[in-house]
Amino acid sequence: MTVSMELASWKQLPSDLQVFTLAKLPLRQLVSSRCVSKEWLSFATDENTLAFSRSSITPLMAEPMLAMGYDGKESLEWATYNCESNQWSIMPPFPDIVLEAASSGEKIDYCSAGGLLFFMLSSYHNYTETKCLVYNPLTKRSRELPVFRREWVVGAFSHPIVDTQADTYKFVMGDQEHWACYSSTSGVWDEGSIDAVGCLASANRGVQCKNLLFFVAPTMRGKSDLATYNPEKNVWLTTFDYERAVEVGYHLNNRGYSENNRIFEWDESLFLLTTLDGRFCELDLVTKDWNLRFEMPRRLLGEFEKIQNCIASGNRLFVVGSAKSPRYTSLILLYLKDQNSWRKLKPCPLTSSLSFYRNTLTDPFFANTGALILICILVHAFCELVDFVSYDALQSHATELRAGIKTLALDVQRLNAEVMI
Amino acid sequence: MHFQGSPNMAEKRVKLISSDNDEFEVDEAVAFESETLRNMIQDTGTNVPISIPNVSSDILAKVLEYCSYHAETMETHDDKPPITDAQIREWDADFVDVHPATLYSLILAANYLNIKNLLDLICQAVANNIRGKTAVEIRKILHIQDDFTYEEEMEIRRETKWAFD
Repeated sequence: MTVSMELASWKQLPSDLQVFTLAKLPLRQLVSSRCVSKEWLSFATDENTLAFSRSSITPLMAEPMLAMGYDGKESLEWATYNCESNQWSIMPPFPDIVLEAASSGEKIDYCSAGGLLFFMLSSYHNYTETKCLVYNPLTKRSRELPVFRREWVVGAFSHPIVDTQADTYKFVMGDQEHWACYSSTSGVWDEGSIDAVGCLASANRGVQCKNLLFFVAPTMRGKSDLATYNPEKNVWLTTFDYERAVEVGYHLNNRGYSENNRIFEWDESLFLLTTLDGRFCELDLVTKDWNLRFEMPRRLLGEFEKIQNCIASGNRLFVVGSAKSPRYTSLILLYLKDQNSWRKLKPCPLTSSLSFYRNTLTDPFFANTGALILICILVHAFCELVDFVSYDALQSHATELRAGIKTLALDVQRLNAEVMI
Repeated sequence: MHFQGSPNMAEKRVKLISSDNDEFEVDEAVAFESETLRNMIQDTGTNVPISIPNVSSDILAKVLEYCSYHAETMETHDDKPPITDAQIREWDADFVDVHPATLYSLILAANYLNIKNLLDLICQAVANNIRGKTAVEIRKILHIQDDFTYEEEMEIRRETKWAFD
């Protein structure tokens, strides 16, 4: 067949080139185009096309979708935000195993990367076992990872690492002394201990940047600093190697004294938001310096009760948190880099009701950087409830709370121990 | 037709023959933008004209226009400022502003000649043409037959409702 201007049509393209072209559509449209024809349905449902679409996303094309999770009593729903139409959409329900766990009061952590959602289901009765589930919301397929049994209490942190090129993933979790990592390539859990004494005690959520995981963690000196994990080599780096008394890895300098400070990835750069002054700085991975890039206006900063999460890709940055007023609602700001402008997102339809746990998900592809640490969630939820409902109403939450308090007590012990140090 | 990709006359020239027997002569660096041509040249040298039996002269001319511009952007001249990324993007945007049929031909040619950046550029342009369009519009633009029953289509829409909001 000769290629010339008169003859060519879409139908003449071999299917691999059609798929290659479709994979360049924004994700939502790739999914909505399933109803074009039977052939397109098979293209746009196929794991390979979706994986293709994942790997061909460049920062400029990425359409960040912001997802809000709501795990209230007997309910776990989620919605995503479409930046182009400025609409929230309620997403299809999670797999049954997750919903059942939610309704039976199990603790559920979730986080996501590369368009995959990762669930950690832990029973309050048997806290040494964690069920993990990987869910692809686009194909609605899910996979249970082998049950992970451990001697230690549920993770202070958990983080998925997705390699979109190879279409493989890892899932790492741990507490201040242990880590465990599941690899989809080996199909087993690896385990080890963290030598970085003190540094990772109650590490916050991780942020993946340039194949490293960064954690903001309190140090022995009562400050916060950065710890990094290299998932390829299973190596942890703290900022200070006490045995050899040398500085290694990256650190926060004078910027990171508060645990409320948030780090996030923005098109392969690591950013830091200092919540005290609303300044956004970018880490130079070579010189290890933080450079001030822009600031959030004080007026807007003052509207946050607590900033939970920053999610950024391409031109957009979302800052997610809870509002001072009206209380117990979430507040999401959108920053547009090219216009250097800030605006408020309209409220998510799921958060209008009281959220027992509130957590936001996002990754540039689909949603999520993820899981707040357990202690924060519990303390936060607990305070909110005491604050918000009367003692009588509290009774009706007694079952959940009793289970929660047990874990809380453990955590308070741990917190106290840290304070003593 | 001659493409003056580079004024550097010391460079080797390559002869290419389209399916309709038009002859093109370009610098080796221009032909090297194509992996397929690079392999052929490395096998047979630059003395023998290379025939490209499945690409017509109008499309080959477009492809070589792309290759010579992009080969030029790689060069550095003392007397001229380097071409900026913004300039390249603008040039690329002009380049793909052609009839859709030409785009499909270019996809096939870029695929055969294995010019990855061109293939990416053109596929993105085709995707942009249907971006934000409804299923009905897409069928019309790409001449695709709707082979769903009403019920089947409604079922798919229900399943993926979130993507339509």
